[in-house]
Amino acid sequence: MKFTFFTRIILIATLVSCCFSCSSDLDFEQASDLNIQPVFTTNLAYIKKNASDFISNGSETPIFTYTSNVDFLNTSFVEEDLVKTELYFRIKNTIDRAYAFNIFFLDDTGQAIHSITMNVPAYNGTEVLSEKTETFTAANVDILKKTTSMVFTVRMFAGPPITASTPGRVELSSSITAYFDVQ
Amino acid sequence: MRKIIVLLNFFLSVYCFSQNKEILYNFTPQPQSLLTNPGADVKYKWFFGVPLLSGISANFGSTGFDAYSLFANNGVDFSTKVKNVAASTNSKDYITANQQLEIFTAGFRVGGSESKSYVSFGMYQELDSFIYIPSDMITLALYGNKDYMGKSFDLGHLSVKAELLSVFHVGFNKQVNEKLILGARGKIYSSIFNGTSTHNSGYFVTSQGENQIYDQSIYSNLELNTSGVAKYLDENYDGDAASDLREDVTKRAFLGGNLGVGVDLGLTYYPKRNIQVTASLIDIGFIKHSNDVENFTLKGDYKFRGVITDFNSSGTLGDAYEDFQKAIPLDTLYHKYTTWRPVKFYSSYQYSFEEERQTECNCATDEDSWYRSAVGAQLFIMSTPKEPMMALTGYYRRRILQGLQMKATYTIDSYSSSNIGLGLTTKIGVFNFYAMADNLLAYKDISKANALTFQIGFNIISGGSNK
Repeated sequence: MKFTFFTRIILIATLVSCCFSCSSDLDFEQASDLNIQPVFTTNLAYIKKNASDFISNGSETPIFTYTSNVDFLNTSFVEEDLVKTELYFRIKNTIDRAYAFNIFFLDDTGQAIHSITMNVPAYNGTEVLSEKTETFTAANVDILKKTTSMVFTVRMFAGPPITASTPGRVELSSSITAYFDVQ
Repeated sequence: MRKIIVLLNFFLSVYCFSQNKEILYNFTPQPQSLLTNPGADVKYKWFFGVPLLSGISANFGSTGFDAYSLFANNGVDFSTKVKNVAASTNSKDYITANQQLEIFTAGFRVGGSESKSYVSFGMYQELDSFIYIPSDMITLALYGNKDYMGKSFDLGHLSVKAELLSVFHVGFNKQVNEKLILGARGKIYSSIFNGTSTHNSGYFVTSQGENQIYDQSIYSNLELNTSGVAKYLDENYDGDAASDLREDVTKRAFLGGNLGVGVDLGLTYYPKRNIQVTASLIDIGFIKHSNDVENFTLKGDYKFRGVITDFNSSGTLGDAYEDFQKAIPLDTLYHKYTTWRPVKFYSSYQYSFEEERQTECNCATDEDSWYRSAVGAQLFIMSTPKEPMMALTGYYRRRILQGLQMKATYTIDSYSSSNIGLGLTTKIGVFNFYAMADNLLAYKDISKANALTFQIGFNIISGGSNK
């Protein structure tokens, strides 16, 4: 094989050029620096009362109370990564009476540690809309972390009489928006 | 947690493929080219590959991004890079890898010295994986759903498969007449590990609601089939993973795994002496997974009414989560499943020139004349879980010296449009050595490469072709 020497030179040169390729400076360690800030939103609670719900056996029932356990706010994910929480409440009223909504945040001893009050005027021909956003940041997030149950009350104020055929409804819709900062 | 780590390792360690072997295809001095076309115009009295060294190939590819865009040490915040990559990729982008190692291979001419029938056989190990970028899920994880009102996050973007297998094969190649060579190869697959999650669908959508603030619902039809990994996913597994893996791999590689069968078909046709047309279909086959199978499903639909759905009972938020789990349960099943091998189609058209008559008869070849040079074009198509992958190659082949041939290729595919490859094969006496690499331009800065392939090997070949 007269070209053996030449052949080998070419082959070796090719291989060497493949093996000694260049690469930009890469740093795989930086993967641990990943920091994301997803924002998730979902419904919180929904309460709908028709006008006729406020009357039973001919007499008015002006107050309703709803309680729910929410101890799930007390998980490690929420503790470590939740930086901001917005609770949004929206009340729509088409009943000719004024209402007050109260939301109490209770701790594990049953004590109210925070409350939200929303007053809704009576219906006057166009649907009444009342909105409120409650924001919890690092400064007051302890309230959420300590909350183990939430109590929603609906109170109807005095006004024109209601019968079983009175039209309209009052409706509370709410949502929770959680801002996470995951390191 | 342990399950997740094992699964992640499984998928990451067998990371990915872009099976196009555009340099090896129809590079007939190399008996390994029979694995890309059983009907290739290969001539030999006999050959065998140096065990474990006859064919080593690996390739890696990704579309839409490269290692540089994620891991460059350029001071840009990593989270920003991840977001940029997420923005520049979509669910049709993928990461693939394929690796093959020939355990042994050999071949011989059957019939007398005038015969033009050849048998070849062998065993190789193959690692295959294909991961599509689940872009909607990445968007959801990075940004959440708040700013995506009305967007339906497609859970069907999740499409992943990974497999480690060994392949036993026997091929027959016959020159039917002056113009036509036909070949076929039978294969038995023995799957060592498999994970397949390619038929997924579903969505998660949040939109402005009428009564409730949001209408929010999820529909999930996700399924992951696995075989050979159940033991390692078991939370109570406390064996020595390293020695168990060694044992499992060895046992299953030699037909102790989940078995399948397949066939390769191919032909070479010379309409004129200097015009050659070839075509092949590789890996028309399937594997039946019935041993050590475990399937995970998340199937169902759920409408989120809210965090608080049940007042004045002892209901808790946990109940809403339980409702969700009941609606879309994580089920573990143990049913058989079948996976199809990725089918590869190759075809080429070649024009040869610079005809030379044999001047010195050292009888290393059985041809009376040969062409020094050839140019041609090749088409490659491969089935994937989504759209087929395609590549078009133009090439130039030249016999540089006695016993030294080269093939240079230029390929356009989904990874890049500037893929230049080079293959060299040399034969000194009966010793044959070959090396092939593509995407040579990318070696300037390997971190910016979207795909890389290399293949090397040693064989002992008696008799041979210069075509």
